[in-house]
Amino acid sequence: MKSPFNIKNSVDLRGLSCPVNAVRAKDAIAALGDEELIEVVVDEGQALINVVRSINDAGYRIFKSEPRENSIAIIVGRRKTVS
Amino acid sequence: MSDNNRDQAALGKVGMMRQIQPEYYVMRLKAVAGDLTARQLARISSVAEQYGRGFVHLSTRQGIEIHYVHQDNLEPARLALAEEGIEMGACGPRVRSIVACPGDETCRWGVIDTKAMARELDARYFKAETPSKFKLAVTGCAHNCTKANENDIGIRGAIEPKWERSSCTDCSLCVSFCPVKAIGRRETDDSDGFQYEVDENSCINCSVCTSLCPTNAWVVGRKGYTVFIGGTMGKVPRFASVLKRIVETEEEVFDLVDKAFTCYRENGLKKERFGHMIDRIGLENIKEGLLEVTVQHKKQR
Ligand code: SF4
Ligand code: SF4
Ligand code: SF4
Repeated sequence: MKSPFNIKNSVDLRGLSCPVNAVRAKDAIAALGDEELIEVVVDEGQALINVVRSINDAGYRIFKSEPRENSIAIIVGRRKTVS
Repeated sequence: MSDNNRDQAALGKVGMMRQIQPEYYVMRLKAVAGDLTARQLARISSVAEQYGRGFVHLSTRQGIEIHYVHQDNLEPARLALAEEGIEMGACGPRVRSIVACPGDETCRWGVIDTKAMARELDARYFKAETPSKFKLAVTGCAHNCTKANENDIGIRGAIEPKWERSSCTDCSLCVSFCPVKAIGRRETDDSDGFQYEVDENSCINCSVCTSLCPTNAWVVGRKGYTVFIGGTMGKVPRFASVLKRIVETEEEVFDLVDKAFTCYRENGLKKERFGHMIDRIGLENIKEGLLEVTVQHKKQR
């Protein structure tokens, strides 16, 4: 993905079920610096819904997404905006 | 009808069913929307100890049944339950207990007050006689936890999403998370350059987009109830048909339910479920009749 963002890392949550996928995603996001972003790859369907909901609820921010084969890559930051 | 059969029908009417064990009965209790107070549960427990065999059975329609009540104990058991406001359920060809999910009172996906709706339906229709059994369910959203479309009449909370350009960051997440892939992104000629759209024919009005968009660019455009008719599982299953996709007022819901109910009472053959009657007469005919009557009814006011 061509991206203006500073993407630090990628976590692969494919194959993990709820709530493990959401917990791993939140742990990885919590470890980010203010300006950093992370790519989270998650299965489509219910897993995506659960992970997105947890990320939103935690106050983190999804900036971009990209469908992959049977999965979605989402770009997440710890803060609501990127400067 | 023999005296014995007549007695059985009378008992069935008040929620008591004969077991295969001679002289023993099942007492079916009513729990509208599956709710009982802790005190009521305690009373049910003591009645099951005293008059049953110390256990209860949970039905698939959110009810509790006390099994193995001897026929001589039916009346004292009923009175003991009535003292705590526990009513008997229904069996036979009539309106059964109304089931409902928790709805917007406690569930984050809930779009409607399912319990209030269930209580109102209970007050209007419970135990009303029908050609065959008649089941109603209310469910708070398209997750459909109480399976609106397996009921003779089902009511399901529904929203119609609306996209707000000013909040959208073009992250495209909604294209992926919509459970039925009803959202699409389109390039446009205007200065924005793009637009997100819903295919109304495939949208299930589920509120996933309005809940999950990171910037709340999907908002609730219209909100209301989807009314389903003619669902049944049982021996010859039939999924319910949509009578109306989004009904915006409670008043219109009750109006439609009333029309559907009356239509079934007037046209259903004995032991024929509502859905099978609809198939016999033709769904489009029925829908036209019900929706047309509603419109006329409105105009009169
Ligand atoms: S149907 Fe919707 S509102 Fe009702 S319990 Fe299920 S998710 Fe919640
Ligand atoms: S999820 Fe929201 S912000 Fe992202 S593209 Fe869809 S409407 Fe826009
Ligand atoms: S309401 Fe549900 S089905 Fe309709 S567009 Fe939104 S997410 Fe998709």
